[in-house]
Amino acid sequence: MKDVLIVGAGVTGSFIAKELSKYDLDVVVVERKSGPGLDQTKGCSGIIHPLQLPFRSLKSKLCLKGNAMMDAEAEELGFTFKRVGLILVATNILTFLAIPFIQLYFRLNGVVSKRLSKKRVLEMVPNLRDDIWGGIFLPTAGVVNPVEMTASAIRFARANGVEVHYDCEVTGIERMGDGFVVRTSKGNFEARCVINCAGLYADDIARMVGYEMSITPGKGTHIVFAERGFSNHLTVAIPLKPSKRTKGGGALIGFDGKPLWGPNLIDVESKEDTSVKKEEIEGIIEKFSPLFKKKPEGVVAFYAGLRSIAGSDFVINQPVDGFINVAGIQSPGLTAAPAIAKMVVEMLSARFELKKKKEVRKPRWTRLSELDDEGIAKAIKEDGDFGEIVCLCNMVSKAEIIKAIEEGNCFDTVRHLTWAGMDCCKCHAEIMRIMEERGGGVKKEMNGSEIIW
Amino acid sequence: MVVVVGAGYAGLSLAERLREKGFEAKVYDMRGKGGELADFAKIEEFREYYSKYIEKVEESDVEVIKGCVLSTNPFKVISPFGLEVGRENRFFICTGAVDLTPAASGIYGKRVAGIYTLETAIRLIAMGKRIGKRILVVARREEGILKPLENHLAARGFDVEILITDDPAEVYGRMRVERVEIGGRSIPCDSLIVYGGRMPFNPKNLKGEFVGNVVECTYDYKKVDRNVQRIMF
Repeated sequence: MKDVLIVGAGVTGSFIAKELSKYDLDVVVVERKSGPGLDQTKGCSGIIHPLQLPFRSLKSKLCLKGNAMMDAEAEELGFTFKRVGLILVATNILTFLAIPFIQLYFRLNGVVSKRLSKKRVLEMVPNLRDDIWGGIFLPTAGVVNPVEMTASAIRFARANGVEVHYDCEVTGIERMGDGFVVRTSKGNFEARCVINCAGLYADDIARMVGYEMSITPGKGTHIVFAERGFSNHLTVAIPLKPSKRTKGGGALIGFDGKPLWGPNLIDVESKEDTSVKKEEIEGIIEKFSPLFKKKPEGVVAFYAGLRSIAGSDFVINQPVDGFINVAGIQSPGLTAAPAIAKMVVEMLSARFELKKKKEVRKPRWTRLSELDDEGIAKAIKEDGDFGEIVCLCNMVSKAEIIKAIEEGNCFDTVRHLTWAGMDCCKCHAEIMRIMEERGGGVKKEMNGSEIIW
Repeated sequence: MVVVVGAGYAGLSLAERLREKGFEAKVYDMRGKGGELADFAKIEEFREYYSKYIEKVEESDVEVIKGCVLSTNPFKVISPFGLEVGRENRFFICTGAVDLTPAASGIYGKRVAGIYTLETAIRLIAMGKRIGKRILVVARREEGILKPLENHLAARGFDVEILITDDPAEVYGRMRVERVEIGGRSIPCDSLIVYGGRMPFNPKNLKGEFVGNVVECTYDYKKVDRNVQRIMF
């Protein structure tokens, strides 16, 4: 019998697995997709938020805590995290006059901010329109690649003994003694504790132990532009009247510096509806272009993700002894993930005598594009495959692709872990060739499907 | 010393011509000789269609150094042998073109498996992969390459329909393409090949004289050839 079974390898499930892997526990993760972070996590904006309203909510507290933990997490797990900062732009006199009050409100709730003059805002983001009034800088905001962040938590967990099964869908949960039998498409698992991190399907999983809840999907659409350096900071116009349901998106930037505009919030019927409509794209452009003198050049991709919404806050509880819900993890779930993991470990300490492992293995990960000349020369000397560039846009070597394949033969996992093929299609076929040669096959998100984009 | 970056049709032709004129050129390529023509050569219908250019590439005895040029000033090349840093002053950039992404080509809907750019589709076919059974090709402009593509796919017994239109397309499907809605029609298919045009492939922003497909951005090698001839004479 396992000690803990985690349903779902999204960002929350993966971070809980990572945290538990530091203890003497037998942990297993089951995920219905072919790799980590390919459902709700993949569709998010990748923003490490500086704050979340209302400050009294659980999601707000976990957001602030998770944000403060992020540098150490990135270092430990080996994912790239950049604190690029967020500029709240006052676009009219009303929001301009509100700046001191907003700053006071932030300060009272422990959020650091800095007032920016109009001149300073325009120096920081020259592409903003000249008729803005000023702004507030939130230096703790950052960007990550959410799938990479998740996959590196899983990589750490696996290196420390956690078992992970992909293409493995939970079909039923039954009580057995003081534990559970979890039925899946890949056979039965017995576990003393079950943690429900099933994202959009957390309600289905909770229902299996008799807990009634409902998750509704809220779609968010994004546009990725090609022009790196269009803005080096996240920029959001201060809203006249903040919405209770969404922060409203912004002219964001992605983990690799490409402009990322969105997301919107659209209620959809289906938990599989990640379709991007032409009107949504036009709506995003219409919403954010008035902030700038011009639009960023070149479109790379559109994508939509689904938030799992269970009321207005996260739902983290233990409705049945040994069964923990980590559900309704909408924005800012990515930011909160490390703090959620700590909280769940705390909850488990009532059930297990948690003993830290004597030795924790930290997997080594080299990203060629982040090395200086000396580092590059050294890496190639150790492994010639570092000298073979597969993706020129993000400077990804064959060595990195091969290393990523160890995490699974899923095309999306390899692409997001390495950043290869995120700008154009030039190297897609080559990545697949290496995957077939090394891993024996190529899958997209789901078992049985083939490839791409 | 003159450096030619890229050993596709333009790079090889240029290096030969330079040699005839008595200039010694070093030719670099991150993959090897022939560029995309080396892939076309592996597919019968494409080989026939591009025979003139493929033969020229195959007959070329220009020596190609396998290495990826990261910058021109300073001159930096990365290869399995290490990182070479030096100084060169004359560069010809022959790095070719790359297909626009599906999003940039007006493809909306779901991002499921089975959506390929024309470029990736051809590379996969050249690798011996079967890319689908019922294939819809949406092209934003007419180009000769669509003919050998259609012939190849039809010869292998696949259903293939080619649409040349500016109408936006919307992809539907759960895990893989199931149908595409375009121009008021709903077309059942399991694969979508998108050709929205090409753009220069020069992600490292190398500086120098631009030659060949990096300028023309096409699959029409007549145009590529014309550009190369103009530079050389």
